[in-house]
Amino acid sequence: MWNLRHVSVSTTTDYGNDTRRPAPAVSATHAAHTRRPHTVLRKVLLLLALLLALLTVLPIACAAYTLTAPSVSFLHRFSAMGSQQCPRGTDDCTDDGGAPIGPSHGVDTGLPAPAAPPCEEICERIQRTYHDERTQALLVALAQTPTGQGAVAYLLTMSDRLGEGFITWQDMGKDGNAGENNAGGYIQLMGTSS
Amino acid sequence: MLTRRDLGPYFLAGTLVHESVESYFDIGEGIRGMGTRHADYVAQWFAGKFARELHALRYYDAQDPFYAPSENSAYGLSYSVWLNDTEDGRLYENSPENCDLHVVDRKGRAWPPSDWWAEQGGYWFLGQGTDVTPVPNTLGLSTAMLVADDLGASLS
Repeated sequence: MWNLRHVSVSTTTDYGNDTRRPAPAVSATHAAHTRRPHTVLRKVLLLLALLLALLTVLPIACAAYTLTAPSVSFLHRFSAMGSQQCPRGTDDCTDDGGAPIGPSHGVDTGLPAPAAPPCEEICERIQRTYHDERTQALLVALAQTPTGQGAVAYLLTMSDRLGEGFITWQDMGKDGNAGENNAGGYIQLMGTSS
Repeated sequence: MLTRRDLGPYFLAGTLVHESVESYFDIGEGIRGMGTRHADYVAQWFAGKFARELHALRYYDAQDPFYAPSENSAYGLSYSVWLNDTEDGRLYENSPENCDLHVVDRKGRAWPPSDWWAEQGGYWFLGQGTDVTPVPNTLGLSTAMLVADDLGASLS
């Protein structure tokens, strides 16, 4: 289409009636001349297309990252556990468990909250056994106390024998229940089933 | 069964303790009637004990500043006080009183809710669940707890 376009040339040329027929040299000059604004337009359009493509791809890429990246709260939880190791007897630690000294209600005073208590071998076993992060988070909390540890030992042994499906998450919002177990002893917790 | 009233950050952790207690009686003792008030009393007693222990740790206490020891707990209470004098106990008032300790069903065996034959009570070799013996009694539970008037007194 571009080459079929009529090119106006000077009527004062020696070509007479043939002036409408583009002569190679003249038309070449004119063609270059007339194409320049279109080339600019083409580049602008190309840039706009690239910009549009970027604007289309970026949100998709961000959404994909959000869906596939680990939960921030979960990472924070475990990074807190990783950073809580504290040698006993140092100025920053209490003698009762290695937790740094801090206010019991850091959120109230504006000071940093105390670090989570240590959780090493049992937390590794929890992560190996139950792969659902919600279940892991609950079991990690349980592992912090003597009563909770009793429950964790039972739950880990049962899942060793029955699989991690021993604890599942169900949508039980309508019943208002937080948890249930069937007659066979399997446990269902409230949440969105995965 | 545990009824939800509010969801503090560690409410579900207590729920898991509750369900672990009932699950042990289901599988370890073969007493399957856990939808009873007395069974929930025992389960809430351990859930409350766990919550007290957890909130004695400064990290967890700081995460849950609105924790009230009396909520979602039967710990330290007798069965009758928990049932009649607490909001938590009243949530279970429509459940049957006690399970039958003489009815022991497929002790040491577990099955998922999807096992239709097992959920119907089992038939011959169908629906017998999976043998998971020996079942660890890591919470120190006993069937006598399911009819105990005061769990604290019976444990001391």
